[in-house]
Amino acid sequence: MEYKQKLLDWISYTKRKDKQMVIMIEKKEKYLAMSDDEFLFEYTRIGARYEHKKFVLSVIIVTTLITIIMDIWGRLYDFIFRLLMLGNVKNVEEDMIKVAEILVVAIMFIILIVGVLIIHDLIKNMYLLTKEKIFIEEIKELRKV
Amino acid sequence: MNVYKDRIKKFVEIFGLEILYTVINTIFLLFLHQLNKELFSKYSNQEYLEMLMYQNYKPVVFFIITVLSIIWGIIIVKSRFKKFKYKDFEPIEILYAMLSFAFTAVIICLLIIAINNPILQAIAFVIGSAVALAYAYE
Repeated sequence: MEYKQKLLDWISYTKRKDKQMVIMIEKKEKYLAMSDDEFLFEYTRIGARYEHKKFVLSVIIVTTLITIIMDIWGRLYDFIFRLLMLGNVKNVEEDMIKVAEILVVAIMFIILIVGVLIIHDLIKNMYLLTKEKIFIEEIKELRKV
Repeated sequence: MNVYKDRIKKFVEIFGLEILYTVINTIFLLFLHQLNKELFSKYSNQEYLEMLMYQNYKPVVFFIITVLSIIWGIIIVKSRFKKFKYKDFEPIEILYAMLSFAFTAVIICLLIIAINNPILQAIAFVIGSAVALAYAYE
Protein backbone atom coordinates (compact mmCIF):
# COMPACT_ATOMS: atom_id res chain seq x y z
CA MET A 1 0.00 0.00 0.00
CA GLU A 2 2.84 2.35 0.96
CA TYR A 3 4.71 1.63 -2.30
CA LYS A 4 1.52 2.10 -4.32
CA GLN A 5 1.06 5.55 -2.76
CA LYS A 6 4.73 6.39 -3.43
CA LEU A 7 4.36 5.37 -7.07
CA LEU A 8 1.20 7.47 -7.44
CA ASP A 9 2.97 10.47 -5.87
CA TRP A 10 5.87 9.99 -8.25
CA ILE A 11 3.57 9.97 -11.28
CA SER A 12 1.23 12.81 -10.19
CA TYR A 13 2.26 16.21 -11.57
CA THR A 14 0.68 18.15 -8.69
CA LYS A 15 2.54 16.11 -6.07
CA ARG A 16 5.84 16.53 -7.89
CA LYS A 17 5.23 20.27 -8.25
CA ASP A 18 4.37 20.57 -4.55
CA LYS A 19 7.55 18.71 -3.60
CA GLN A 20 9.64 20.99 -5.79
CA MET A 21 7.87 24.01 -4.34
CA VAL A 22 8.73 22.92 -0.77
CA ILE A 23 12.39 22.47 -1.77
CA MET A 24 12.37 25.89 -3.45
CA ILE A 25 10.89 27.62 -0.39
CA GLU A 26 13.48 25.96 1.86
CA LYS A 27 16.23 27.09 -0.48
CA LYS A 28 14.83 30.62 -0.62
CA GLU A 29 14.78 30.86 3.16
CA LYS A 30 18.33 29.50 3.30
CA TYR A 31 19.58 32.10 0.80
CA LEU A 32 17.71 34.97 2.52
CA ALA A 33 19.15 33.98 5.91
CA MET A 34 22.72 33.99 4.58
CA SER A 35 25.19 36.75 5.35
CA ASP A 36 26.29 39.00 2.45
CA ASP A 37 29.65 37.20 2.13
CA GLU A 38 28.07 33.75 2.10
CA PHE A 39 25.52 34.83 -0.50
CA LEU A 40 28.21 36.41 -2.67
CA PHE A 41 30.18 33.16 -2.52
CA GLU A 42 27.13 31.09 -3.61
CA TYR A 43 26.23 33.62 -6.30
CA THR A 44 29.71 33.59 -7.87
CA ARG A 45 29.95 29.80 -7.59
CA ILE A 46 26.67 29.23 -9.46
CA GLY A 47 27.49 31.93 -12.02
CA ALA A 48 30.95 30.46 -12.68
CA ARG A 49 29.58 26.91 -12.96
CA TYR A 50 26.97 28.12 -15.43
CA GLU A 51 29.55 29.86 -17.61
CA HIS A 52 31.90 26.83 -17.40
CA LYS A 53 29.14 24.41 -18.50
CA LYS A 54 28.21 26.77 -21.33
CA PHE A 55 31.87 26.77 -22.41
CA VAL A 56 32.11 22.94 -22.28
CA LEU A 57 28.90 22.59 -24.30
CA SER A 58 30.14 25.03 -26.95
CA VAL A 59 33.54 23.22 -27.13
CA ILE A 60 31.72 19.91 -27.73
CA ILE A 61 29.51 21.47 -30.41
CA VAL A 62 32.58 23.03 -32.12
CA THR A 63 34.46 19.69 -31.93
CA THR A 64 31.50 17.87 -33.51
CA LEU A 65 31.38 20.48 -36.27
CA ILE A 66 35.14 20.13 -36.87
CA THR A 67 34.84 16.33 -37.14
CA ILE A 68 32.06 16.81 -39.70
CA ILE A 69 34.16 19.34 -41.65
CA MET A 70 37.31 17.19 -41.46
CA ASP A 71 35.32 14.31 -42.86
CA ILE A 72 36.05 11.76 -40.13
CA TRP A 73 32.62 10.23 -40.61
CA GLY A 74 33.23 10.30 -44.37
CA ARG A 75 36.29 8.13 -43.88
CA LEU A 76 34.23 5.64 -41.91
CA TYR A 77 31.65 5.49 -44.71
CA ASP A 78 34.51 5.14 -47.20
CA PHE A 79 35.73 2.12 -45.23
CA ILE A 80 32.23 0.54 -45.36
CA PHE A 81 32.09 1.31 -49.10
CA ARG A 82 35.46 -0.37 -49.62
CA LEU A 83 34.20 -3.41 -47.71
CA LEU A 84 31.17 -3.58 -50.00
CA MET A 85 33.43 -3.31 -53.06
CA LEU A 86 35.57 -6.17 -51.74
CA GLY A 87 32.71 -8.51 -52.69
CA ASN A 88 33.85 -8.17 -56.32
CA VAL A 89 37.42 -9.21 -55.56
CA LYS A 90 38.34 -12.84 -55.93
CA ASN A 91 39.84 -14.86 -53.04
CA VAL A 92 38.09 -12.74 -50.41
CA GLU A 93 35.63 -14.61 -48.24
CA GLU A 94 32.12 -13.18 -48.45
CA ASP A 95 31.45 -14.04 -44.80
CA MET A 96 34.41 -11.93 -43.78
CA ILE A 97 32.91 -8.86 -45.45
CA LYS A 98 29.47 -9.53 -43.98
CA VAL A 99 30.80 -9.93 -40.42
CA ALA A 100 33.05 -6.85 -40.76
CA GLU A 101 30.08 -4.75 -41.95
CA ILE A 102 27.98 -5.85 -39.00
CA LEU A 103 30.84 -5.09 -36.59
CA VAL A 104 31.36 -1.60 -38.06
CA VAL A 105 27.64 -0.84 -37.71
CA ALA A 106 27.70 -2.18 -34.11
CA ILE A 107 30.69 0.02 -33.22
CA MET A 108 29.01 3.06 -34.81
CA PHE A 109 25.87 2.29 -32.79
CA ILE A 110 27.89 2.14 -29.55
CA ILE A 111 29.68 5.44 -30.35
CA LEU A 112 26.30 7.05 -31.11
CA ILE A 113 24.81 5.85 -27.80
CA VAL A 114 27.82 7.17 -25.82
CA GLY A 115 27.61 10.51 -27.65
CA VAL A 116 23.87 10.84 -27.02
CA LEU A 117 24.37 10.01 -23.31
CA ILE A 118 27.14 12.63 -22.91
CA ILE A 119 25.12 15.34 -24.69
CA HIS A 120 21.97 14.44 -22.74
CA ASP A 121 23.90 14.72 -19.45
CA LEU A 122 25.39 18.07 -20.43
CA ILE A 123 22.04 19.52 -21.56
CA LYS A 124 20.28 18.29 -18.40
CA ASN A 125 23.00 19.85 -16.22
CA MET A 126 22.74 23.07 -18.20
CA TYR A 127 18.98 23.17 -17.63
CA LEU A 128 19.35 22.65 -13.86
CA LEU A 129 22.08 25.29 -13.65
CA THR A 130 20.04 27.80 -15.65
CA LYS A 131 17.15 27.21 -13.22
CA GLU A 132 19.52 27.72 -10.27
CA LYS A 133 20.98 30.88 -11.82
CA ILE A 134 17.57 32.47 -12.51
CA PHE A 135 16.55 31.60 -8.96
CA ILE A 136 19.63 33.11 -7.30
CA GLU A 137 19.30 36.27 -9.40
CA GLU A 138 15.72 36.69 -8.20
CA ILE A 139 16.91 36.16 -4.61
CA LYS A 140 19.55 38.83 -5.19
CA GLU A 141 16.80 41.29 -6.10
CA LEU A 142 14.79 40.24 -3.04
CA ARG A 143 17.79 40.80 -0.75
CA LYS A 144 18.13 44.38 -2.00
CA VAL A 145 14.64 45.24 -0.78
CA MET B 1 12.66 -10.60 12.87
CA ASN B 2 11.35 -7.09 12.27
CA VAL B 3 14.83 -5.64 12.87
CA TYR B 4 16.25 -7.74 10.05
CA LYS B 5 13.30 -6.87 7.81
CA ASP B 6 13.93 -3.15 8.42
CA ARG B 7 17.66 -3.55 7.76
CA ILE B 8 17.04 -5.41 4.49
CA LYS B 9 14.48 -2.77 3.47
CA LYS B 10 16.98 0.03 4.18
CA PHE B 11 19.72 -1.80 2.29
CA VAL B 12 17.43 -2.26 -0.73
CA GLU B 13 16.41 1.43 -0.58
CA ILE B 14 20.05 2.59 -0.52
CA PHE B 15 21.53 0.15 -3.03
CA GLY B 16 18.42 -0.51 -5.16
CA LEU B 17 20.07 0.43 -8.44
CA GLU B 18 23.29 -1.47 -7.66
CA ILE B 19 21.33 -4.59 -6.67
CA LEU B 20 19.34 -4.42 -9.92
CA TYR B 21 22.59 -3.92 -11.85
CA THR B 22 24.30 -6.83 -10.09
CA VAL B 23 21.36 -9.24 -10.52
CA ILE B 24 20.82 -8.44 -14.22
CA ASN B 25 24.54 -8.67 -14.99
CA THR B 26 25.05 -11.87 -12.99
CA ILE B 27 22.33 -13.54 -15.07
CA PHE B 28 23.91 -12.08 -18.22
CA LEU B 29 27.37 -13.31 -17.14
CA LEU B 30 26.00 -16.83 -16.72
CA PHE B 31 24.65 -16.74 -20.30
CA LEU B 32 27.95 -15.28 -21.54
CA HIS B 33 29.92 -17.99 -19.76
CA GLN B 34 27.68 -20.63 -21.37
CA LEU B 35 28.20 -19.03 -24.81
CA ASN B 36 31.98 -18.93 -24.31
CA LYS B 37 31.95 -22.62 -23.39
CA GLU B 38 29.92 -23.45 -26.52
CA LEU B 39 32.28 -21.40 -28.70
CA PHE B 40 35.36 -23.08 -27.26
CA SER B 41 33.87 -26.55 -27.71
CA LYS B 42 32.80 -25.95 -31.33
CA TYR B 43 35.60 -23.85 -32.80
CA SER B 44 39.37 -23.76 -32.65
CA ASN B 45 41.37 -20.57 -32.05
CA GLN B 46 41.78 -19.90 -35.79
CA GLU B 47 38.06 -19.96 -36.65
CA TYR B 48 37.26 -16.44 -35.48
CA LEU B 49 34.93 -15.66 -38.39
CA GLU B 50 32.74 -18.72 -37.81
CA MET B 51 32.77 -17.96 -34.10
CA LEU B 52 31.21 -14.52 -34.67
CA MET B 53 28.59 -15.93 -37.05
CA TYR B 54 27.53 -18.57 -34.50
CA GLN B 55 23.72 -18.73 -34.07
CA ASN B 56 22.92 -15.70 -36.21
CA TYR B 57 25.61 -13.34 -34.78
CA LYS B 58 24.86 -14.12 -31.12
CA PRO B 59 28.44 -13.21 -29.98
CA VAL B 60 28.13 -9.74 -31.62
CA VAL B 61 24.84 -9.12 -29.77
CA PHE B 62 26.52 -10.21 -26.52
CA PHE B 63 29.40 -7.82 -27.23
CA ILE B 64 27.00 -4.86 -27.67
CA ILE B 65 25.11 -5.76 -24.46
CA THR B 66 28.43 -6.02 -22.56
CA VAL B 67 29.58 -2.57 -23.71
CA LEU B 68 26.21 -1.04 -22.79
CA SER B 69 26.35 -2.77 -19.36
CA ILE B 70 29.82 -1.32 -18.73
CA ILE B 71 28.55 2.17 -19.66
CA TRP B 72 25.56 1.68 -17.32
CA GLY B 73 27.93 0.70 -14.46
CA ILE B 74 30.09 3.77 -15.03
CA ILE B 75 26.96 5.99 -14.95
CA ILE B 76 25.86 4.43 -11.60
CA VAL B 77 29.27 5.06 -9.97
CA LYS B 78 29.47 8.57 -11.44
CA SER B 79 26.02 9.51 -10.09
CA ARG B 80 27.02 8.27 -6.60
CA PHE B 81 30.21 10.32 -6.50
CA LYS B 82 28.60 13.38 -8.13
CA LYS B 83 26.74 14.11 -4.87
CA PHE B 84 29.97 14.88 -3.00
CA LYS B 85 30.99 17.68 -5.33
CA TYR B 86 28.49 20.41 -4.41
CA LYS B 87 26.34 19.06 -1.56
CA ASP B 88 26.78 18.35 2.14
CA PHE B 89 26.95 14.65 2.92
CA GLU B 90 27.05 12.27 5.86
CA PRO B 91 30.31 10.32 6.44
CA ILE B 92 28.33 7.08 5.98
CA GLU B 93 27.53 8.16 2.41
CA ILE B 94 31.23 7.83 1.52
CA LEU B 95 31.01 4.21 2.66
CA TYR B 96 27.88 3.72 0.53
CA ALA B 97 29.67 5.21 -2.48
CA MET B 98 32.69 2.96 -1.89
CA LEU B 99 30.44 -0.10 -1.63
CA SER B 100 28.60 0.93 -4.79
CA PHE B 101 31.97 1.34 -6.54
CA ALA B 102 33.06 -2.12 -5.33
CA PHE B 103 29.81 -3.76 -6.52
CA THR B 104 30.02 -2.27 -10.00
CA ALA B 105 33.81 -2.56 -10.36
CA VAL B 106 33.66 -6.32 -9.70
CA ILE B 107 30.87 -6.75 -12.26
CA ILE B 108 32.68 -4.60 -14.86
CA CYS B 109 35.94 -6.58 -14.38
CA LEU B 110 34.06 -9.90 -14.73
CA LEU B 111 32.33 -8.62 -17.88
CA ILE B 112 35.65 -7.57 -19.44
CA ILE B 113 37.30 -10.89 -18.56
CA ALA B 114 34.32 -12.89 -19.90
CA ILE B 115 33.97 -10.96 -23.16
CA ASN B 116 37.71 -10.79 -23.87
CA ASN B 117 38.21 -14.47 -24.52
CA PRO B 118 37.22 -15.31 -27.25
CA ILE B 119 34.60 -12.76 -28.49
CA LEU B 120 36.61 -9.51 -28.22
CA GLN B 121 39.71 -11.21 -29.63
CA ALA B 122 37.65 -12.47 -32.57
CA ILE B 123 36.19 -8.99 -33.16
CA ALA B 124 39.65 -7.38 -33.06
CA PHE B 125 40.96 -10.02 -35.48
CA VAL B 126 38.09 -9.59 -37.96
CA ILE B 127 38.19 -5.77 -37.86
CA GLY B 128 41.98 -5.78 -38.29
CA SER B 129 41.78 -8.19 -41.23
CA ALA B 130 38.93 -6.23 -42.83
CA VAL B 131 40.85 -2.93 -42.59
CA ALA B 132 43.95 -4.57 -44.11
CA LEU B 133 41.90 -6.13 -46.91
CA ALA B 134 39.87 -2.99 -47.66
CA TYR B 135 42.97 -0.85 -48.13
CA ALA B 136 45.03 -3.55 -49.85
CA TYR B 137 42.91 -3.55 -53.04
CA GLU B 138 43.04 0.00 -54.43
